[in-house]
Amino acid sequence: MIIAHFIYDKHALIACSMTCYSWYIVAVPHLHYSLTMEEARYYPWDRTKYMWPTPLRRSYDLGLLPLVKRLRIRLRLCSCNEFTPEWIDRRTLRYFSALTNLQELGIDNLQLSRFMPNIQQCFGHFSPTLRFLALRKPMGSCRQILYFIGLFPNLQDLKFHWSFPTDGQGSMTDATLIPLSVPPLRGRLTLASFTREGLVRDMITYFGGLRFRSMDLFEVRCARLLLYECRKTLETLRLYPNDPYGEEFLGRREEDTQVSDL
Amino acid sequence: MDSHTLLQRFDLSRNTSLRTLETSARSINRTGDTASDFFITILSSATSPAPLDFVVIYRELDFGFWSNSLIFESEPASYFYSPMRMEERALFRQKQFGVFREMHRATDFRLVLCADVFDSLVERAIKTLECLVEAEEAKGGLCHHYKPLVISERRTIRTRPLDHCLAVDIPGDCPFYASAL
Repeated sequence: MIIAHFIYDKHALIACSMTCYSWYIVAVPHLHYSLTMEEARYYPWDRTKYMWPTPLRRSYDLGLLPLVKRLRIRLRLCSCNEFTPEWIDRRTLRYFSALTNLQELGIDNLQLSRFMPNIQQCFGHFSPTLRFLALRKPMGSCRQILYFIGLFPNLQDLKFHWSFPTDGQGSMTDATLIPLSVPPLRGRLTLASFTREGLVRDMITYFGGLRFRSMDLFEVRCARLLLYECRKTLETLRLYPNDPYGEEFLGRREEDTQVSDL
Repeated sequence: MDSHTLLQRFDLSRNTSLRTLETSARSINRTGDTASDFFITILSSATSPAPLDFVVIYRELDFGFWSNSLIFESEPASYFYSPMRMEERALFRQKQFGVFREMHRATDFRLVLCADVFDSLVERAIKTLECLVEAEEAKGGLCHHYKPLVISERRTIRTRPLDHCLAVDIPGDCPFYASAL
């Protein structure tokens, strides 16, 4: 359908969707592809519109959540602003369960240690469909992050941005945290300001090696290990010696993900 | 970082399936520059049997386009263009070709110039890059086996600016959706 050519043109898509019902059916999945929640600081003129969980609630009320394929939760990078279990109540879980086609998930300041050991109850809804996970400044031990990744058995792409060594030494129960699955992880790996070599080593151990086809590396200490592990699969390597922190590609307002540039 | 240390960190000799090495245009400055030396050094370690593409990504600012909308990840209505700096940019690109020639001495590769800009700028950006390649060719400045390839790519980060205003504002801004559903 020719409408698919307008996926990058919001106004054309809206116009198409308002033409007739058959055009609406084609256009609407593109219009609601992505859903982002941000802090009010980005929108001082409207403090509540984009704040958690308003976009989720509104989309849920309109039955649009099954159309969403990308969910982003953007927070300011400070210790006072963390994504914790308190953000997710029973109602939010209902919204999550309506995201039946979610393929890309990005969360800033995810406090993984606070979600343990019941993290599967919160994010397990996304297990069948999730292909891309982006975490900016995740807080938790390497084993907790690994366990979180293992919740998604179809995960192909990974992105870590601004990952500090650790927020603690991990709890005693960490040793019992074995990933529930081994995701294929054959897509794209993006690492920026990444210092957790231990996490990479754990991934190699528990996932039986790394097989990424594409890598974006910004200020990564374990580049040698990554290049060696993906020596048979790596096809595309992106390096930015003048932009070690990924400011040009990852920095603006977010990505990458994108969590900015998902 | 000296070349020995650099090669320890970015040794590509074992990456037998590597097809593409990418970087931003701003990473390629001039011969003798640290970032340029970085690529010259690590390319010398590449032993992939397949031809290697070295992709240089040019963005709006590399063409002198600027808009306040750039920081909002949305399609800008208009761009400001700074003709005062045209000569400076042309000189910068000439120096980049000097780096490419230097890199080519280290290893064989195909040079790919990629315009990663908004849709509305793609044609102008492509034309600029094609003119640049032709000018270098006319000067005899190209020593590659392959003629540099000029391509464009839609930026996925910004070309999905929909969620900021859709699925959120629908009830008030677009009553059709509410009624249709």
